[in-house]
Amino acid sequence: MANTMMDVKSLKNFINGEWKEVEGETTAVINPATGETVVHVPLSTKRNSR
Amino acid sequence: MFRCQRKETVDEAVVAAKLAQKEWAMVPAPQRAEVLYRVGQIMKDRKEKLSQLLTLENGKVIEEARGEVQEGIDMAFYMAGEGRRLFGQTTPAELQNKFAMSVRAPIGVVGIITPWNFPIAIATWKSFPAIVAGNAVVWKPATETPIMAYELAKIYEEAGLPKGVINVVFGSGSSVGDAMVHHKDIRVISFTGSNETGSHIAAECGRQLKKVSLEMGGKNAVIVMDDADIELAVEGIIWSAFGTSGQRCTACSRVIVHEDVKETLEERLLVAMEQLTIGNGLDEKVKVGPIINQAGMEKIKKYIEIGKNEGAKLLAGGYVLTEGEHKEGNYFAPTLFTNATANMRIAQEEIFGPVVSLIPVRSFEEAIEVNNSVTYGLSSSIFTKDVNRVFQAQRDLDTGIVYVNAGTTGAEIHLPFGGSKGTGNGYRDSGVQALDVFTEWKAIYVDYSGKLQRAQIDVE
Repeated sequence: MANTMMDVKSLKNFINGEWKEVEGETTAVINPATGETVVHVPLSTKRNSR
Repeated sequence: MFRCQRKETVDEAVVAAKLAQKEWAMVPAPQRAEVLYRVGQIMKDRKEKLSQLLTLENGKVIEEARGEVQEGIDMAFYMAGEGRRLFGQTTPAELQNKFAMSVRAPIGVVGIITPWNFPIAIATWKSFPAIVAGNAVVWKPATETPIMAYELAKIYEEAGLPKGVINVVFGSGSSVGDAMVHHKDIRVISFTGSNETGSHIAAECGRQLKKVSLEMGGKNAVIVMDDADIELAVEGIIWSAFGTSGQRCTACSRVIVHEDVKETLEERLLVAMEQLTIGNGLDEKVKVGPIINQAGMEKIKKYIEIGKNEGAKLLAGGYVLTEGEHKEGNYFAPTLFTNATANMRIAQEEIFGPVVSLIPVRSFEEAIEVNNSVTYGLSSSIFTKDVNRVFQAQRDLDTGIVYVNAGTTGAEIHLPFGGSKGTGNGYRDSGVQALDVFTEWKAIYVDYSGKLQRAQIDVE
């Protein structure tokens, strides 16, 4: 699987020098060459407070 | 309720940026630049990994991905150099014992919104000048290609950029982007993307007297004159039309050809198009990668039908590749229409795919007129050996970028990048001109006469 290149499964926001997990909705980042999911990206519609 | 919550995330980023910017602006610019030198060095060390990840999320072929990452590296060192320039001006004052100068001042918190087609290059065009000039950044990358943003944020962190100077908020334009545009403490929005979104942003920023820099669509043409080196023109067209599967804002989507060489050009283009290997961009042999997503595919398909209905002649392509290795991805065959006319929709509207329309013309003057007949004004190109035509063309082509004997793509980072007319609103990304987006001019007068000297009055 190509996504072994990624060191995380889901991306986090980078705010004030900290990686902040976002609670709630995410969307898949799709490799357009293969249709495979590479990683998930948050849709910052929820508070990111963890 | 949702609006309130998403706003809080952007709020948190802006609060952090605002606080960080006050201290960052006090760091001497040459020291701010040191961070960018380190960013550039890390990008250089990590070039291959970044390129592979870029191909993974965007689809562009690996050779082009390496080129894009290199563009970011170049921009890092170039903008780091600005740390020891950021030139202002001194000028004589009109009164004795008075000194006058103007300096570039940072603006504060700036918002950058970047597209999926150049997810790292455009981010560097915008964030590097903003940061070296002493601003703090809130950045919303496209949700299709967030990995480059994640990687670049990690690089900034490793390079020792103080916390809060860059903040990355993932999310859609309608939530995060909208919250940024409406945030009172974000004083600049620098946006690259569609005309529809850009004009909406500009209207909203206009109401708030917020500075906005827009880089949007193109309908770029290559002109092939009767005296052109046809082989060279074919290479230039193939590279600029089908590179990145036509998903560059500078992609060639029109070829304006002198009628005397039209047939020869058609024949040779068809031969060259047959040589194009289409597939997964991580394969070094592949020349044309996939289309970003289904919405992109649908738009291209729609324009193929429009072109046929308008009476343009389909010479090659025009279909989706669905067999074998192409089954799971979004692949569209490189497409060539001929006998298009300047006013057809396929010759006027941005398709953002591997589709080129040939428009035959009878003269140099007509070629220029056809080039200039679109609402966009990003890039144009002419192939000719006539030096008089070269100089007339560079004067008369009404785009922000003009190429002579090269295709419509291939901008270098130390020149201004941007378009006239419907492509933008007068600002430029990259080049020293990028600083105009992220700084304001401050005029300073120092009167050392020890008395009241009135400008315009005490000049006798």
